Parts: sequence; C-alpha cells; structure tokens
Amino acid sequence: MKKSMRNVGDDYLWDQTGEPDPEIQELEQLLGTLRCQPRPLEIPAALQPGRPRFVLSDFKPRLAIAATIVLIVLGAGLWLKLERRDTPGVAQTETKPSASDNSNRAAATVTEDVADEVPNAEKDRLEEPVTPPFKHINKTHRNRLHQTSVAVNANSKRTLDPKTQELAPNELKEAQAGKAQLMLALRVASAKLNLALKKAQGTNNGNLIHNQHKVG
Amino acid sequence: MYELEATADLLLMNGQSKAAIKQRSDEPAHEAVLIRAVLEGDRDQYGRLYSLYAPLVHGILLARVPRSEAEDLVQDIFLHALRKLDTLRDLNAFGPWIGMIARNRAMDFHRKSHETVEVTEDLKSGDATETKAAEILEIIRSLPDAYRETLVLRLVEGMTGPEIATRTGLTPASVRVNLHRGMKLLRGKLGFEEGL
Repeated sequence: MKKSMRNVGDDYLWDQTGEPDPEIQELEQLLGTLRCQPRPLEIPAALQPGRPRFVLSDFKPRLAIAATIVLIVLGAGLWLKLERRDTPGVAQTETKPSASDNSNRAAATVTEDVADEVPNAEKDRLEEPVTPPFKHINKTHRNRLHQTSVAVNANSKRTLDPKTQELAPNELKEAQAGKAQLMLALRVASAKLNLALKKAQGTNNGNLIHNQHKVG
Repeated sequence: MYELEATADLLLMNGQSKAAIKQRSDEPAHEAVLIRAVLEGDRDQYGRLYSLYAPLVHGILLARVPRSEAEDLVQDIFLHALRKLDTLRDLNAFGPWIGMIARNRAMDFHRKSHETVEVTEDLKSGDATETKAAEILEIIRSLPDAYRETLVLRLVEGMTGPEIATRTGLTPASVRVNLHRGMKLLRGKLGFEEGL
C-alpha cells in the first residue's frame, strides 16, 4: 500500500498527474509565492537584434577551392612577370643608341686628354675617331646588379645560344670601341715606355763612357 | 528498493508522460519561428519569447542568487540574449542557450561577492508565508546543483518534468532522476516525517 502511494506521489512530482502528494502540494503552495511574475520587457530603442553571423565552417570547402584558384592565378602571374622581365633587358640594349652616342662624346674628350701626353708621331694614328662607350658599359653593368638570379640565368642561356653569338650592330660598335680603347691604352703605355727607355739609355751611355774614361 | 522502482518507472514511462513530452516537443519549432522573426527585425516576437522563457531563467537564477536580484537579472539576461541572438546556431535550442547565459550570469554575480546580502534580504520579508518560503528556498539552495535547479523549476515555477526537460535541454530521464533524488534529500532536510 505504501509502495503504491509512493508511485502516485512520483507521478505527481513528475507531471502533476495522478493522485496529488500532500507534502509536495504544501511545498508548491509555499514556494509558489516566490514564482516569477515577469515585468514587461523594456527593450531600449537603440538595441538591435543581431544579424545571423557568417559561420566559417559552412563555407570551408568553397573557401579552400577559391584559395587554391587564387594561389594558382598568383603563381602564374608571378611566373609570367619574371619571364617578361628577361626580354625587356635584351630589348633595352637594342633600342638605346642615343646613350652610346652621348658616351661617344665623352670618350672623345678622354681620348684628346690622353693624346696630349703622346709624342707627335703617334698623334696622327691616335686621332682616329674612337668611340669607347664608358657610360653605356657602366649602365648595363649597373642594371645587371639589380637583376634577379633568374635573369642572370637567362643571360647565361643567351650566351650559350649560337644564334646570339653573332653580335648586333650596337654590340659590334661597343666591341670595336672597347678594342680601340684598349689599343690606345697600349700604345700610350708603349710610347711612354719607349720614352723612358730612351732617356734611361741616354744617361746610362754617358755614365758608361765616363766610367770607361776613368778606368781607361 | 524505492530507487529501483523509480528507475524502472523511468525506463517504462507511462503513455501519459510520453504524450505530454510529445506535445511539448512541438515547442522548439514554434520558438524557431519566433527567433527568425526577431532576427528579421520583429521585436514584438521577442516579448513572446520572454514570456515563454522568463520562468525558466527566473528559476535558474533563484536557485543561485537572492530573489531581489533575480528579478533584475532576468531582464538583463533577456536583453543580453537579444544582442547576441545572432550567435545562436540552433534556433530550436533557445532554452538551453538562455539557461546557460543565466547560469553564467549567476556565477558572475557570486564573483562580485554579494553573497552576504543574499540571506538577510531573502529573510527580511514581513509576511510569515514568504519568510517560510524563503527558508525552504535556502534549504533547496544547499542541495547539489542538479537537484536544486530542477526542484526550483518544479516547486517554485510550477513547471512539469517534461517541460523542464524540453526547456533546459536535459533528457526527461535525467530530470526525473534529479526530481526524485532532490525531493528525497529535501524531505530529509525538512523532516517531513514530523510534518512542516
């Protein structure tokens, strides 16, 4: 009997069905005085309900695909840019004759300065128009310093290419100018050496005769 | 023996309880509609959510903080929930979500050490019935967390077991066990054998 009463009480405690348990009813009455009596909710006018947020996990596969595509496009773009950087380097040397012209003038003045020191016999030969492109050579050298390693490799490829071994007209000019400058320097040096030798021989001969004289 | 019978009852829930649970299980779908409406800017629908869930939040708070504080905290929690409503992923889980906010807020309240004010304020009320109610509430608060919350929702807020299960997100079996064990502990503390 007691057991069945307990079961009835359990049902009432669970869902308020069945025979009420007097103890629970008493507690309900007492504690019911503390029950929530909700005031109307005062929502401030400035308060806005949040918008549904962007949930990253929902878009993960799409984001991964998009990121891969972007990476491929960026990689291809970078590769193309590096490829293009090689070709303008060659084009620049071919399409800048004005720079070499300017350098010719400067080279000419240098030649005149040097020629003042050379004996008259040599002058006529040296007064040929030589065009050593100092500035041009310096400029291309400076450009090479700023080139990336890829560009350097491309240059090395270019030298290996048998087609490019035939020099372009500008490059031929440069080479000739360089050769002329070298020859000029050699001539000046040999002239100076000859002069010095002659002077030295002149003094030495006198001394020898003098010495011979003394000995004799 | 008594506990074994209660467990058997849990496993073989009678048809009436099942029907009640089924009836209540439609509730979340209705809530999801309300929440969607609120997110789309219909603030009036939030008032309906408030009236549906205020007892739950109040009960959770009452099991932890003084009654005088609970009233204000309920309002604060609902306003906070409105601000953060976009963070709710499962629109059918508004009850468990706001219940968790309420528990966290109660913990914050205790961190600010208002506990000394709590007892005196609750026992201050002049009415003898309310004083007795406050005393019993204090005894319930001394029970373990799981029992006190379920008992307050059942005895103070007048919610049924299935309602508590639906709104808190607990399984009906857990709620039933908590109610049964909590009631047993409360009976022992109140000395119900000798009467109130």
